[in-house]
Amino acid sequence: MTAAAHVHTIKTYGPDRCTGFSPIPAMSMVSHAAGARFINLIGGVMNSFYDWYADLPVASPQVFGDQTDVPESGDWWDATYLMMWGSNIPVTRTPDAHWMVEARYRGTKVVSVSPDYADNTKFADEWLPAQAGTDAALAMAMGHVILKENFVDRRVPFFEDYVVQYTDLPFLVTLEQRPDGTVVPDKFLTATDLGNAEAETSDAAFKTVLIDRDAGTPVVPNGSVGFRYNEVDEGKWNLDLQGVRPALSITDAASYSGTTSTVELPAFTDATGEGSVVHRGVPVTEVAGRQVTTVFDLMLAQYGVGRAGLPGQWASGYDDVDTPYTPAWQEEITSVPAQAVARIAREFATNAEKSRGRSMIILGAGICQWYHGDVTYRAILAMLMLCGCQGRNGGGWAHYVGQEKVRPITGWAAMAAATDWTRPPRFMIGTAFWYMHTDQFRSDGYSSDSLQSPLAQGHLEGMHTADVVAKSTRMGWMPFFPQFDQNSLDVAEAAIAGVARGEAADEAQWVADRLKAEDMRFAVEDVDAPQNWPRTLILWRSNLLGSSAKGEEYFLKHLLGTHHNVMGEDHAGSRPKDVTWHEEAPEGKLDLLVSADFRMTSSTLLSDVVFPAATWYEKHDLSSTDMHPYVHAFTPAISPPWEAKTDYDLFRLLAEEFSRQASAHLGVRKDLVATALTHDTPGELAQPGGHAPDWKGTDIPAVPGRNLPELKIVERDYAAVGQKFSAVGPLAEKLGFTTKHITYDVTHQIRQLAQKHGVFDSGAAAGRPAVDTDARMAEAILLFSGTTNGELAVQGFETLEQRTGVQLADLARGSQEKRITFADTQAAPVPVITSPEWSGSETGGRRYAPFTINIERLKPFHTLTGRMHFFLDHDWIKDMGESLPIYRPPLDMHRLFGEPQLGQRGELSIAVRYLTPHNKWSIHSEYQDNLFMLSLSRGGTTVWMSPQDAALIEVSDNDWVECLNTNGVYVGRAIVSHRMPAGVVYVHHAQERTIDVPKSETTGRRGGIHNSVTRILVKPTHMIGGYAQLSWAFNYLGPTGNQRDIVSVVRKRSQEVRY
Amino acid sequence: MATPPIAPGTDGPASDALLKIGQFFTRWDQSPDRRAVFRSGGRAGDAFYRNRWSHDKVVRSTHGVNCTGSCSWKVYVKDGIITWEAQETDYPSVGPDRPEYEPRGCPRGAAFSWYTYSPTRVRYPYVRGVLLGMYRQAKEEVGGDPVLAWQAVVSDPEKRRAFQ
Repeated sequence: MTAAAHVHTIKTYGPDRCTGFSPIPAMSMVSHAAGARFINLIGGVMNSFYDWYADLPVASPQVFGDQTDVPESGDWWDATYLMMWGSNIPVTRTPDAHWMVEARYRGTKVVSVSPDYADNTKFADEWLPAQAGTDAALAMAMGHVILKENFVDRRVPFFEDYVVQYTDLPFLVTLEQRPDGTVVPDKFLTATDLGNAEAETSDAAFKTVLIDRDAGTPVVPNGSVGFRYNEVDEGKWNLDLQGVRPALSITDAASYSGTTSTVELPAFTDATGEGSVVHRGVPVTEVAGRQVTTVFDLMLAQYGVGRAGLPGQWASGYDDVDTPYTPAWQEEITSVPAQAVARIAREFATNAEKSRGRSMIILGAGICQWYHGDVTYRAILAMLMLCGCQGRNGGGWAHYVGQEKVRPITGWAAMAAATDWTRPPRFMIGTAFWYMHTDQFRSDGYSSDSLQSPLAQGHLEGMHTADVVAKSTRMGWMPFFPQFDQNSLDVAEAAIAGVARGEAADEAQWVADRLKAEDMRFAVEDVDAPQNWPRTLILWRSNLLGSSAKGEEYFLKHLLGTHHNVMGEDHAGSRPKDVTWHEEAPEGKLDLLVSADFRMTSSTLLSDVVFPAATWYEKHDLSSTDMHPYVHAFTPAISPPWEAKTDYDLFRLLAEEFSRQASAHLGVRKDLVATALTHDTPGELAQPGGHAPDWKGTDIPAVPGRNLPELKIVERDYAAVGQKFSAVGPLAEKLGFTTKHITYDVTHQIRQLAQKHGVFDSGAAAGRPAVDTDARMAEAILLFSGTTNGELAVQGFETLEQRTGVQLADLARGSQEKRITFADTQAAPVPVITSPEWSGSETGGRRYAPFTINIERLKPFHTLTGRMHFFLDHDWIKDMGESLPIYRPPLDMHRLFGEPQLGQRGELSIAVRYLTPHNKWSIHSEYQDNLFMLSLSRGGTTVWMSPQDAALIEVSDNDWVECLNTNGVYVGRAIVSHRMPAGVVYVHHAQERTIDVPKSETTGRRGGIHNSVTRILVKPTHMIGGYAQLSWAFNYLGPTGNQRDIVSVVRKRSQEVRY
Repeated sequence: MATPPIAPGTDGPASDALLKIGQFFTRWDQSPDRRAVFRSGGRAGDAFYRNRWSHDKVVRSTHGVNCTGSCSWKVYVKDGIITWEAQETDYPSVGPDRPEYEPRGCPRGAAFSWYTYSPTRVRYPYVRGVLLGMYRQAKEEVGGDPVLAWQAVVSDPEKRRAFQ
């Protein structure tokens, strides 16, 4: 029946209406890859998870051009100053917490930033209890102190040498004079602007410019993204300044004449989120007819750190309460004493200077999962970059959230995406998928302009967030599926016929013409029309509806069409313009919800079909993590009991049954696949300057791969899916496997695999090496990855040497003969090999720290400038006022959505910040239903609250309370604890409906999960794409499913509960 | 008729029945309530304790629960039954003058084997009853083709609503 539902959906609506969700491949790579392989072979859609979980720090692509490359926990030992910021190490990194404690015995100072007296705070030497959501104010004030004391009062050579080589601080930014006379920072100056011979070079619009301190002239240094892809610049993509000493400030340039300009900068100091403008002077010079300054000069202006002779309003001292971003200013917001901020910032920088960058900040979900979490992260990363800490053992950021690091990434990606048979795959950004398909956009009664900078120029004016999704889709920024309002199989065949009739040069352009002429629409533009609904959804290794479903009740209402507790109304008054509004919102879009699990969860209970899965002790698989450098195995202790099957076997059988049915109903079809402009491909050069005018409703032509998604025709032999599933396909040798723009030739590995596993003797996979068991797929994953196959690591580094012109292959040469087999990982955990798949070096037994290769070998970051970025110049970032690190308060849910104001009282109720951190008795929803954990903890649903709030609403410990807002209701027992600050409740993440959840007084229906009270809030800047590091890639960049800004009313309820 | 409330705790008719069956397999001297057994002799008397910690094999595995621990565990098996787990200690050394990764683990991971035979275990496939009934009927009507049968169910709005 499950196979039949897929065949029918593909035939009737198109393959991109078949969807799958399974998170975190690293936690069991084969199990993930098996299901993803089935979905991708049929042309279905795999949803992302990292951004959806809001674990993805958007600041990471913005600043580093890389996603979550972080040190192993063994490197905490190397730190000599260690901050923990929104990451509760003993609870959420339990097996690694000892490193932090042991580092203290070694003399490392440990500082904790958390709103509550958290478990990790007990280990800290000092605690900065910043109010929830205000962390960026604290970080900006620390940045203020660091800049003033180390870059102005005294210029620390160690810091200065670092920032001019590895960050964008010396690069030139143009100043824009607006018609009303105001001056604002605009864009990076590029070689194109120079108008000389440099402007004629390849990809000049992506080559950024700095000033030679000694000569006072503009220089286009190697290493920007303009040097990365074209043939002419091979060997020049590196950070070698070739003797040029960049001017950090314009004032450093020999040619500086003393000219200054007052720029206007946005600030968001008001708790309502309303923006204001500050005026600050910067030194300027003229280059090729343009007024320019450096990012560094703008940074001092932004942080309010004054220098003699510059006009504007500046901080009068650390005790200046009124001027952002002084220590005294932040005290009003965070409640952290100003003196403590200045002292910690000073210690942090001094330690970095003396230890050469060994100040580290462990940071995590407590500060990441806010609407403006990216801004908070940028303010914190700025501290690390200013102090020369990134790319050092014992220094830099250490962001830990999900188990996201698949160390053998190339092999896993190939198996999961089935790129050995067909490419490109259909990968979707999870947050936008759920936001649109669960109709949460209908409840979003605000437009993006309410969050804009006061200096905005209207790129987001009046845009509903659904319009943001639609625009991001049509501009090729982010993917969206289903693609079109028609079956993509029919579109492909029509396009081929159209080209044959001579209507267009190729199929992609034929489709572009139809879109431009509005003969065909993107599905996102009428997402509620039945032909655009997702029809099938398979969940495995996932408990979507008991854990990550932000806006759970909207899932139940619109996607599943079942009982729900949604209490709000659609915001019909604020409708999107580009997305069709249906008077009646659909309920029950899915035809079939399938889940595979070994335990009963909220998701299995809501599924139409449940497959019994093997547990982690009943299958072969692989595991890796950020926290340690080893890969190691899952091995079956027993065969799967009863009718349980491994995920591998389940999907193999499903693929085979699917093909049996498809041979009569589908056969061989052409499919047209739309993919976004992708990071680490030349597609990221599509939209220079981050300025891309819309083709919709204008005269601008729509060009695939420029201002429209890439459009490719692929062939799908639906009767062969079963056979292809179990064999490695021929594209492996023909095209190789590519990770971060390094293509690995795996011809030798294919031969090795064929010898080891044998080849199929007939059918679609004739002659192809077998991966027909879970253990064999594990072997293939290890064989095709540089981290686990020294031959490929060396090959990858040699490829990269060609492009960069710097020496790299020696990092892996000592491991060239080393191949980590599946049997090795079953014998003992095996440390991985240094590989260009990641940015750090383990060579010679070093602990892994990210970006050490960039810093030590001058390999560029994957950003516009090739350096780490303080400044971002995309049109939308500018309009949101976030070009530079900044503080933005948590969303004012009252002002934006009419939710109760924080602290608002009712009879026995109070409105509070509703936070959902993790607890020590479960890992997501797992273990919270385990008998042992239920015995150790209070068990069932709970709400942690402060004694102050409890007293106000007459609640004693263990009383039943309800947390509610328009999204839904949660019922639990109060845990009244002095650990909690007033005004905040903690409802621990993923306490499920399956354990002791009574009916709510509010609706009469059973209370929900923690996410029943939350709702998806999409930040428009997360949807940017097509521009250098701000380009999409799967789990690299996408809108976060943040949930920490939520406000809920907590009220005492009748103590008699009914189930 | 209302059933009498079951007193909280683990004892009840079901546990009584289990203990009765247990006596059939192990004919030991028992207390009248079957909650205690009496054994005599040195080696024979303490067999219980030895058996408790005996096992047939130890297998390396881990937990895929997205906790970032990625801890390696020893899983113990006795008579084809998973009994308990313990932390692996064989992580390669990270070098001199610093702590090691071993052992790794936490109480949550140590509780995992409970799931294998727990009441919450999914043992067999489940299908929503209403859906399966309609699907089987449709399959009969269309002559056995599963795709046509599925189409018949989901293209009928009333049937679709009935199982959603």
